[in-house]
This record gives sequence, structure tokens and C-alpha cells, in this order.
Amino acid sequence: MSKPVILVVDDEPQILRVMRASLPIRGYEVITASSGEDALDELSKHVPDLVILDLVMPDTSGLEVCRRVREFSSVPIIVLSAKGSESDKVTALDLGADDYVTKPFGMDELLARVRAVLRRLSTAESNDRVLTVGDVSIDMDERRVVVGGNEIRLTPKEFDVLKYLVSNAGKVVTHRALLQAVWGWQSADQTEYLRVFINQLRRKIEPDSSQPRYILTEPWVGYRFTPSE
Amino acid sequence: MKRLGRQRWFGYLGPLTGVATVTACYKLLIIEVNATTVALSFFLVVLLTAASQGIGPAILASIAGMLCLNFFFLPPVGTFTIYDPQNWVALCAFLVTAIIASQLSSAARRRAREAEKSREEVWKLYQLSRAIIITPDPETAVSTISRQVREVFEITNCEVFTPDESGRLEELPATSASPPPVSEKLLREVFERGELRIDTAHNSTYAPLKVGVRVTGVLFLTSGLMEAGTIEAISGLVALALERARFLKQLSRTEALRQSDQLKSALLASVSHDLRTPLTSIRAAVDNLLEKNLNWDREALHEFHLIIREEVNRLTRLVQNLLEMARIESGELHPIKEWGSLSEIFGNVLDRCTAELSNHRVRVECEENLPMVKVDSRLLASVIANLLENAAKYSPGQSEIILRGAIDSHRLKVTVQDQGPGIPTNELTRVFDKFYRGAIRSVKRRYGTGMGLAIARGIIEAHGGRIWVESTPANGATFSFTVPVETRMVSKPLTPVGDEA
Repeated sequence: MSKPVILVVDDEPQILRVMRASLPIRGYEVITASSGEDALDELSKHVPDLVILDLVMPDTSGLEVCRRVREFSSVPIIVLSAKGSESDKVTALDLGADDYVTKPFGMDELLARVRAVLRRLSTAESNDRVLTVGDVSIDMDERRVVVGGNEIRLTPKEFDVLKYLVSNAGKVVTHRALLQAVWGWQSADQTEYLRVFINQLRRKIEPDSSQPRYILTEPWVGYRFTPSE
Repeated sequence: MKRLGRQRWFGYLGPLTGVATVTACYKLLIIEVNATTVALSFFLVVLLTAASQGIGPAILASIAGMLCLNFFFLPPVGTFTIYDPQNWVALCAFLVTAIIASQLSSAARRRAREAEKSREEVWKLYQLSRAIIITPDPETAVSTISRQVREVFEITNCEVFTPDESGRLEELPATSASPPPVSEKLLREVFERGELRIDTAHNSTYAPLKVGVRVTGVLFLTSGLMEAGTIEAISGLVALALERARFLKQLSRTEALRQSDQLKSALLASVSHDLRTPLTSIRAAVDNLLEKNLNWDREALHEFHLIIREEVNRLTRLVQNLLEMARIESGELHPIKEWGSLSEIFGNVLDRCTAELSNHRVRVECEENLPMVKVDSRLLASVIANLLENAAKYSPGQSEIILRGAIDSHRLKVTVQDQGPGIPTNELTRVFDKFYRGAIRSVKRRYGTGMGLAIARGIIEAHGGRIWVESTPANGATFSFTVPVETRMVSKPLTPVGDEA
């Protein structure tokens, strides 16, 4: 199997230098672009396995790149954002980014996200009727949910929410995306309702709902389903 | 007083002359004359006198006319006796009619004069209100208004008193020619009661300055000639002007606060970006170095170490900039001058800025055998570093940056020339403002704290020098500074500074 190719897009030459020096030995091939336009240019020629994209760039911003990439490609995107710009993060995720890392980030954190996104990509391609992630399995046809060997009874809406989260396991799902997927467009702003609903769902599937293990909260952004390994 | 006396004297002489002239005309030129014609002529003199000189001279003219009519024209001529009772009646009728007519005529004249006076006052008030409206500066508004009141209404004193923080009535800087004889007691009284008071002994007026029902101060005037209505109008205008000045001041303070808020958030945004980026590179490099399970080759290890060093330098400079800015802001920047050489300063700067200048070609043009100069080398190096970084930031990669140094007649001059897009004329002076960043969109890298050039200016000004920028659009910018220096020739020639990459 050939090495996965990662395109790193950042206007900071030093960050590109670190990536160029450190990713190859960890098993990835690196190409770099120092502006949004360069990145789009690169992507139009050959699509990599993953894109790491800085949101704050002059001229063409990361958000703009994200939007334009999604017009022709579903390549996984991890955005680099600054702390305190939650709205940009959410916008990027809504535009189709798969995950985000906040600057300054550690190498391990970034690589963990990269692995998670790439793994999800390989499992998503299987077309089973039973979705199994870790010790959680969901039977699509019979609408049955088994967590840690115990069957759980869920309402139809709860089932839909869990199904959406599990099928995006490892990925951050924004409030808006979840609300739209389960309740439809008009509900996209009712995050408060969603919070109550998720608590309900946690009480049913989590061993300890005050310290969730499966459905994690991403503050200000949304939720992430992590199967216990 | 003298002029007034002469006028009054003339006022009484005039009608007598008029009566005498009429008498002489009829007596000498016309032999047979009707007494009625003469009486009517005298009557005319009386009316003219009343209209021009007022009631006193007119009554004098009436009596003189009556006497002359009696003496010269009514039989028996040449005596004050009258035979015909009809002539008594005529004489009395003449006198009474003349007096009534003069009264009416002088009343009309007085009214006309009053109308003229109030018209003048309205005009003056209009002028005053106009002056108040166009006074642009709230700081000087009060003194301007006070001067206007004194000039327009021709009075000696016009002072404005407003309460200070402790409630004491303080005179605002109005600067009358002479210090006014102000009574504290009356001031306080007028301020508390909000009523007009006139101090007749000192010929002065204390008027409350009211906005609505609130008394904001007291207006002090020395003039006995003004009417209450006029004073009220003046104090109304002054109160308005004070209020306007107060609002303008508040407005400018709010505006200043808003601007400094904007500056602060701009600073915060750029500082946080400038802090975060090197921290990210350092963290990633350190994480890699700490990863024991991986076999890094020598080249990669060296690269990580290099990155860490460069980014630490960058952070150090950012922190230095912040500290330097704070020192300039608080006026704590004092150059410590020592003997040094320009080439040494240049070398130091180029060493420090390797990472920032890695994408550009730097050419150093510096004469050999330059004298030693007494400067604060550390601070000047910081200025040059900021100028070079700025040039690199705003000019395309691989373009040339020229650093020139020269010393002539006790002046050190350094210029940094780039091949960037240049600076629009309207931004040439603003680039040295704190937190100002060029608006040009085409440049790739627009970040930065906007502190570099402001620091450069602060340092150069602390040296008593001058910093400026020249630019022709699309043809690069040239930043230059000069500082006055002491120089000393060295016996041994310095190592020439060659081209540096």
C-alpha cells in the first residue's frame, strides 16, 4: 500500500517546514501550498488523501478554499483554527470540513485526527446493514441498538440521532448539521433543544451520563461520537 | 461728555436761529405780510426742531416764535401788548398747537430711535449666536464667546462662572482686560436661585445660565446700559454655547475611547496571531524531537533545531517590540550612547533577521572607512531590523532590498529600499502610526502587529532624529532616517561590509 498523501496549506513558511520535515517519517507523503490559490491549483491537478488547511490566510481564506474544494471533491479536510474563533470553525465544518485542530497544536493531536479521519474513510466504504463501531452496533433494517452487549430501546428520533453520530464516528458533527439531518432545515437553530435531547440519549446509552464515553461534547461546536476501543 | 454738551447747546441754539431767520426774512424782505403766514412759518420751525432735537428745544422754539410773532408782527408792532382779543386767541392757539405738535413729533422720533436700537441689539445677538455656532473648538469656546459678547455689546467685562467638582463657582478662562469686581455672595445667590441680579453700585449684572430649568453657571457683565431682555438673550446663548462645548467634549472623548478600543482589539488579534504561529512551529518541532520511537535522520533533527531557534528569536523580537512600545508610550525610552560602528550594527541586524529575510536578497551599500559614531547601537539596530522586516513583509519574494548607510557632517543616515508595491501618497505619514497596517490587498502577508514602524519612529525621535518614507506607486518604498551623531575617525580601516545574501 502506498503512503497516504497529505496536502498542507498554510501561509506560514515555518509551519510548512515543520510539516515537511516531520510527516514523511510518520508514514505520510507531504505536499505543501502557501496560499489558498496555490492549494486549489494543486487540488485541480491531483487529489491527495487528506488536506490540512489553515483558516486564517490572506487573499483566499481557508473557508473559501473549503467551499470551493467541496464543489468538486470530497477529500477529507482538517482545518487549523485559532482559539477564540469558534464561529469560523463551525462554518468550516458546516462547509464540509471533517475536523479541526486549534493552534498551537501538538503533533500527536494532529496525527490522531489524521488517523481518525483516514480510518473513517476506509470503514465508511463498507456497505453493511449493521453498523458496528467499537462496542456499539446499529442494525439499520431492524432499528436495533446494542451497546456493550446490552440491547437499548430508543425512540425513533433518538435512533436517528445516534445513527447519524455513529455513521460519522470520530468526526465532529456541528449542532446545525445534526439538527438538519434529523429534524430538517427549519430546526437548524434550536441548539438548546438538541442539548436536552442528547442528555436524554446519553442517559440511555452511556454507563455514566455525567461523564460521557461515547457522545462527547465539542464546546460551542457540536458533538463527536467516539467508540470505546 | 464734551461732545454731548455741545450737541445740547446746539439743540437750543438751532431753533432760536431758525425763529430769528424767519423773523428777519419777513421783516426785511417782505413789507406787507400776513401774520398767519408768519405763524405757519414759525410752526414749521417748531416741527423741524421737534423732529430733529426733541421736545425741549421744540418748546423753546414755540415760545420764541410766539414772542417774535407778538413783538414783530401783531399790532401794535414793536411792543408785547396786544389790542385785538382775536390775536390773543391766535397767539395762545399757536403756542398750544406748537407744544402738542412738538410732543407728538418727538415721541415719534423716540420710538424710531428705540426701534433702531432694538434692531441693532437683535443684530448683535444674531452675530453672537452665529459666532457661537461656528466656534469649532470646545476648549476655547467660552473665551471666544466672552470676547464676542464684549466686542459686540461694547462692555468691559463678561465672565462665565461654572461650578467645579466640589461645587465651588470657578471663573472659566475668559481673560477680560481687567479683573472684574465680582461679589462671591451675589454669584452664589444667582446660581442657587436662578434669578437675574443687578448690582447698581458696581454697575454690574449677574445672570443665571440656564438649560431648561437647570442652572449650569452664572454670567457676569459690567454694563448698566443693557435691557433685561437683552441680558436674558445673551445668557441664554452663552448657556447654549457652554452646553454645546460640553457635548462636543464628551463626543470627542467617546470617539477617542472607541478608537482606542478598536486599536486594542486590532492589537490583540495580531499579537495573538503572531504569538500563536511561532508557538505552533515550536510545539510541533519539540513533539517530534521527543518522539523516541522514530528514527529521525540528522537532516531532519537539524531542521527541527533550526526551526525552534528561529521561532524563539521571532517570539523574542515580538516580546521586545511590545516592551519597547510600552517604554516609548510611557516616555521611558532613554538612549544610552556609546561608540560603535555602522557596519557592526548592520552585521548584527542581518544576523538577527535571517529567517525574515530568507526569501529576499539583501544588498548592503556602505562606504568603507566610516568614522565611529556615538549612538545607542541596540536601539538603532532595532529600528533597522524593523525597517528590513517591513520591507520583506511588503515586497515580493526573491526581490532585492537595499540597505544603505552614510555618515556626513555629524549626521548618520540609513535608508532601506524595497521593490514592493509602494505606498499610496495618503498613507505616507500614517504608516508610522501605531497599529497602522497598509491597506494594499495584493501583498501576500498582511499580518504583523503594526508596531514596527511606530517603534522605529519612537526610537528615532528619542535620538532627536527624523524618519520618513518616500514612494512612487508600484515602484517600491524607501524608508530613511537621520540622527545627529558625534563622530570619531579610527586609525585602522574597518572591515568592509560585503554583499550579504
